[in-house]
Amino acid sequence: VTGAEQAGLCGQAMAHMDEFIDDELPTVDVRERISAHLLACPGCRAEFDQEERLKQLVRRTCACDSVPDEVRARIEIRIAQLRVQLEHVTDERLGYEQVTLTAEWRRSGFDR
Amino acid sequence: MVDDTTGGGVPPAEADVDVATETEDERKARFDRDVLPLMGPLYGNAMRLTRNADDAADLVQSTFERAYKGFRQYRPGTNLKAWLFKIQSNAFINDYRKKQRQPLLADSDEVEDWQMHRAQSHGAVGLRSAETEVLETLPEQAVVDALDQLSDDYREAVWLADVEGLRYQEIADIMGTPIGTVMSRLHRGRRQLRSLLASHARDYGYLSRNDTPGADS
Repeated sequence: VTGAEQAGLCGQAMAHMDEFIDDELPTVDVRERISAHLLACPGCRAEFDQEERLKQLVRRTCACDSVPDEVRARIEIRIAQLRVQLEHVTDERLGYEQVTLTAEWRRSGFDR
Repeated sequence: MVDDTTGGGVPPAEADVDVATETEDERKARFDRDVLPLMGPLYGNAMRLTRNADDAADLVQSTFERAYKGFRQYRPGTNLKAWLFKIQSNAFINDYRKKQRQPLLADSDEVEDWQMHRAQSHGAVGLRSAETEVLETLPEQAVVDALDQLSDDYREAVWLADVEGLRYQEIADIMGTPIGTVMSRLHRGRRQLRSLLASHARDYGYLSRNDTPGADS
């Protein structure tokens, strides 16, 4: 392999680095060709390895925001309110005030 | 937990749901079972979008409200998390970004530049192989801060791909852009992130001043 050919192979591999790391290459064929090149080329291998490790670093670090309890509670209350409101709207449209009462009653837990 | 699941019984497995014949109670039970547990990822994404806890809480609430009202439109068997992120992204643009009057980044020449850039061979853009090992020893907050310094579009692309593990097509749907734009944002976002982390590492003495990113001969 001449120097120019080598540079061409490296260029092709580098052009697909993100897709390789994200497993988004269009065909298995391209993936295999890049894998073969990486085995033969320590320079590209190092670059790909760096990129993969950066991706893992971001994933590890950032999958950690936990929802504060008060936020969770607020949202659950809001959904419960929304539920009653939406039932009320539907019921008014249908003219069944009774259904809303049933929903309120059920929400209060008396039907258990 | 929300308590209105008493009439619904056990909802059928995700793929077996027939939206047309499903009762209102079954749909509610399905919302509680499938959507509420995704509050964690939605809050994480909201924190990255808004970069502060108060706005993130408002955005998550708004996302759940929209999701609840629109749950009928979700097609069971498709990626629920991606559907929710799409709603969240719209909510962010409508409720929050508009309020801030923050101009959207111009997108025109972005893709072309990037294709020229990424065709360069290794060494031209990369860092020495020792560098990532150093970045891996940085405190977690440094990584979070660096991510928060990226522009909104780069940050969201990197977040959705790397933390949430979404496909390019899913990210393109969420961000409302062609796939090429997603790839460009990811590539640039990662490059900026690396350079921000390296500069942080130098500031705090994890790396020597001579280890300059992108300055290979």
